[in-house]
Amino acid sequence: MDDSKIVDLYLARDEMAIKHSADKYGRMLRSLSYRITENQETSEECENDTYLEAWNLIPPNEPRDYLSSFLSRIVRNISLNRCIHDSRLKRKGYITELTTELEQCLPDGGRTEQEAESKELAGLISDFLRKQPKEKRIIFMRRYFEMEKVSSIAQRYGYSENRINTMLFRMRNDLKKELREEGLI
Amino acid sequence: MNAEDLLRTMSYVDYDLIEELNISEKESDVKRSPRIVIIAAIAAAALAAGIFGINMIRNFSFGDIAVTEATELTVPYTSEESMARSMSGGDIYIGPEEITVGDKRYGMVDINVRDKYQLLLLDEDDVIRKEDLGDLIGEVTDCRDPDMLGHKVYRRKNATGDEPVVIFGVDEGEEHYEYYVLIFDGNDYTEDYQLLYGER
Repeated sequence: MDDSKIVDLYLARDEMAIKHSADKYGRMLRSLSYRITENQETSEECENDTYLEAWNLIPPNEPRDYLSSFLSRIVRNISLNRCIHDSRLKRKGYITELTTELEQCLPDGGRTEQEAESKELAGLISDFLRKQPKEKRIIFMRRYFEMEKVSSIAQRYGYSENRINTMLFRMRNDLKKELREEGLI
Repeated sequence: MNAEDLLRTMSYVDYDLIEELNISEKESDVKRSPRIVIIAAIAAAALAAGIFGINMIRNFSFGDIAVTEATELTVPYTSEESMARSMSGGDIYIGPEEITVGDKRYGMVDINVRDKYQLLLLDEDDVIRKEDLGDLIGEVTDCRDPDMLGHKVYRRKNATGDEPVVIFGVDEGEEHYEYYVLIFDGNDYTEDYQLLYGER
């Protein structure tokens, strides 16, 4: 079913919206959640929570042209929160690995002097990513949005892990420069 | 804001970027990386011809890090096997790259020795030791991979005998060091080199 029609179902408070969302995007959402949580049961729960959240957010939102991204964002947030707060999930180490990498984008000490608005920062990160070649942009998103392992990214692109690590290392440095220039850090 | 907040903030990058990612995910489900196909095709063609083998790069080491560990593949293998090895993280990765250093053009073979490679990343003092470096040849001025631009290229110190001329590519970043094995155009391995880059 066309995304716009699915959104119409949400707007009409028709529960078929959830069924059609699941039919069309369920696999993608479970896959993204599993990549973050590495737990089948949890990823299914996160998927279901995502539909509930979408139900609550539409309206006022009407993501007719970006429903898959809209749902991806929700499932990522839910999955990440589960990872951080659910001690049963053995993903703390992986989250630490990712945050350690991202600390490189922040000043020494890992905290900005003045807290920037998340959405403003996300906008700057988006602008930064748009300036990157497509392949690098997607690799960065795979690592820090989808939280995919470096080994998996390397396999996907046929590059050595070192090359992916180096590519990410350089992008983090460039991002830090960009954030600094914009006065966000 | 700390790094965990930054990780959360990534959820709020613009929708078009997430959309692009979702589309690429669908594409990669149905399409193999062309690069892998190219690599496998080159390796398979070369091996089928019985000329190119890992022998030409097996008999040297970087200090304590023996590249001979990567030479299990001297037994001819099929293109499917080579692809599987590459796709799985690879015992050895053969990248068809060419770079220009000064006025010379080089072919490059990037060796990725699984465990040893991690060692390279973890212990940077052992990666490219100053004492392993010979003459500075120049900097990379042209390469398909823009990340290679500006790398300093050195000849391996005391390269002798039938050892191919080996040049280190050094990324002088703070954390990561890279090394590349370059087969020097014009040496005894020219035939292999030309086979590997037959279209030149």
